[in-house]
Amino acid sequence: MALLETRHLSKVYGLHTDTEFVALHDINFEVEEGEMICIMGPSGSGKSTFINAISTIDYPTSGNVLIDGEEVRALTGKQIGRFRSSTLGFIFQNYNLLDTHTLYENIAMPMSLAKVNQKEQAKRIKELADYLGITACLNKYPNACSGGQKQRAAICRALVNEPKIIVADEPTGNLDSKNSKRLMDVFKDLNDQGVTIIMVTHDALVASYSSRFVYLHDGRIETELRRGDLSQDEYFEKIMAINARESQEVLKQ
Amino acid sequence: MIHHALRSMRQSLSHTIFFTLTFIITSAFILLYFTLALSDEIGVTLFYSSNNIQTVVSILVILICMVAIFFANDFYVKQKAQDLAVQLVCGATYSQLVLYLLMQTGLLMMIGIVSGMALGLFMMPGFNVILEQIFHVTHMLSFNQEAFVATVVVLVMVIFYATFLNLGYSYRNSIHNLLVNRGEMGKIGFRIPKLFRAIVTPKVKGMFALILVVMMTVMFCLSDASDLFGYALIWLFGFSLAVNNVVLPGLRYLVAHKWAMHPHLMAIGGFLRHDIHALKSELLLLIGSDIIFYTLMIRNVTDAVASTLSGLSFVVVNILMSMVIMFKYSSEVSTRSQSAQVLLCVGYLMEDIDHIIRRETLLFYAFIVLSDMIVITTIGGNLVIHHIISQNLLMGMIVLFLIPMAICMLMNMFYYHRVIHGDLLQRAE
Repeated sequence: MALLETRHLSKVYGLHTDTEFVALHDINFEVEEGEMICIMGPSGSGKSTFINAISTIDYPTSGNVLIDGEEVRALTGKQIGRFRSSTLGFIFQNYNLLDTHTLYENIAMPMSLAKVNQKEQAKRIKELADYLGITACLNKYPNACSGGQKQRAAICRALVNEPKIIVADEPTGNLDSKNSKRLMDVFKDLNDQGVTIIMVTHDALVASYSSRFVYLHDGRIETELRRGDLSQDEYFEKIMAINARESQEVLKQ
Repeated sequence: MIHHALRSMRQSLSHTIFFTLTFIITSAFILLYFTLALSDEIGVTLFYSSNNIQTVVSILVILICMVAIFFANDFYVKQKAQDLAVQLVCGATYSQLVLYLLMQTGLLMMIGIVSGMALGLFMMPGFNVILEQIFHVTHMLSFNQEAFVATVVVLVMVIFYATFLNLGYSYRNSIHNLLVNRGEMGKIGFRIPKLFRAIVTPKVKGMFALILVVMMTVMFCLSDASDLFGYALIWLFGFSLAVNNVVLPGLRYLVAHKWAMHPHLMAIGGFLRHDIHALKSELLLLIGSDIIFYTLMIRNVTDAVASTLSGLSFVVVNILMSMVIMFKYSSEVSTRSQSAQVLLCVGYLMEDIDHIIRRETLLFYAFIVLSDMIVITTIGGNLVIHHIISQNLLMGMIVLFLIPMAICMLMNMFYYHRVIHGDLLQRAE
């Protein structure tokens, strides 16, 4: 059974209004446990809408999202909340940390929801902070930290409840090349440990770390590519070629 | 530019209504105040200062009125930061921005002042009854042309001053900062010697602050009325230190340790800590102004008319300060929809967020009210025991302090709820 599945997923913004816009068209998609999936596509292709819909951040207009075979819409509000804090970990381009709370408190929040005791919280935070190199700034507020530190804190928060799936929307979007590389090494490491990662990016190099590549265009899955036995270089070239094909088509028009 | 200004007002209708209501209430109370201050019995004049205690009270009320209007205007203009940025991108000049903002604030000011004065006139008979009940003076408030002029002059001056100050803010901040609503001026600090920092640690400061606050509170109850002002100033200093070195670190400790397994309290604690830090100056101003008006009342206790003026000033200032706190708090929470989005991603539910908003606002106002009530009740209690003021007057002051605070708290809850739900709904659509 797939860990995550969408059936005929559609999302329409401004339904029945003058500004009606179909962001996703009838998408059928499956994610197996332990995969690292990268979603790419031009701006407005529906990438963020798609991961928001599969991660319960947003509801689809029609179709189904099943996680572990369970229909998300059938879950009660409490179940969805519990599901988000225990099964999913979110990482965003703009970090989405609370400016009013220290990095330590931001990271502790999902554990507080999961009723993890205070000693265990402190232990897990210390381990993760050591692993990601942010121990020194745990007591700082986000606005006193660099972009790289904030993103690593966001990763700590996403990992702290040991989620099955990590959903990342442009996680390297605000990072320099050094911090991007470091982040991708962390993702690779986590994926090797069995964590499923679904990630949206504009960066072909970042996409080359994935095990499956999905190219969206105008709300539809246009191309899917599995890395299989390809080396990272070969895989990267194929991803570049898919992106280039899109650009060439635009130029022809 | 005029067309853009009017359209912008229509688009942010709730802010516009909020802002206009402040003008109406401020105008009404400032009119009542000047009607009393400029009456024959009190004898303050617009162009001649007799240097008496009444003039001092009047200047204080005007200053606090300026602070209230400034924060209302600041709140309104900060909501317009993105509009201003767009105008700047399109090549608007300084004079065009002046026109753009003055068009909006000027129109609202006219509506506010006219309606406020009408409200003030309507309230006069009621206030006469209250003054008669508490101070036993009859027909203090009646139509006074000079009071109308004074009210209009003060309000117009403050609004122009605040608008130009805000325009300066727009010009000093980059367009990018205005667009992302991060318009903040750089803070200037001073270096404290290392040795001093090593000896006077935050813990030492906290202990010292607590000792000062407790000792001075005891002195409020035991000392003579004439010494109260001095003790109150020391209390205020101790309280300011205690907020920085006891309350805020205390909340930090609670969030990280005691509330670690209580997700609601964990979120509330962080927000509350931020609110108290952001509004500390306003809280000190509120307590400081109450101390000053108490002192003025004590000094004029034999003069019923001057005592009446100080009493009314206490009421007006508390209403204005409640509004200052309401607007500053509104400014703080106006960007919290992003925080709500984060909480939803982490696993909180919408009903959790509603609960957090209510509790946070309630606890914040409880902190403000309790802090000020220590001063009002202990000093007031002392004065009642020494028969300087009546028990009824003290009760009246407490009630007239609590009512505007309660109204502002409810308005803040409503606004906070609207900010969170409105923005999340907009994103979903």
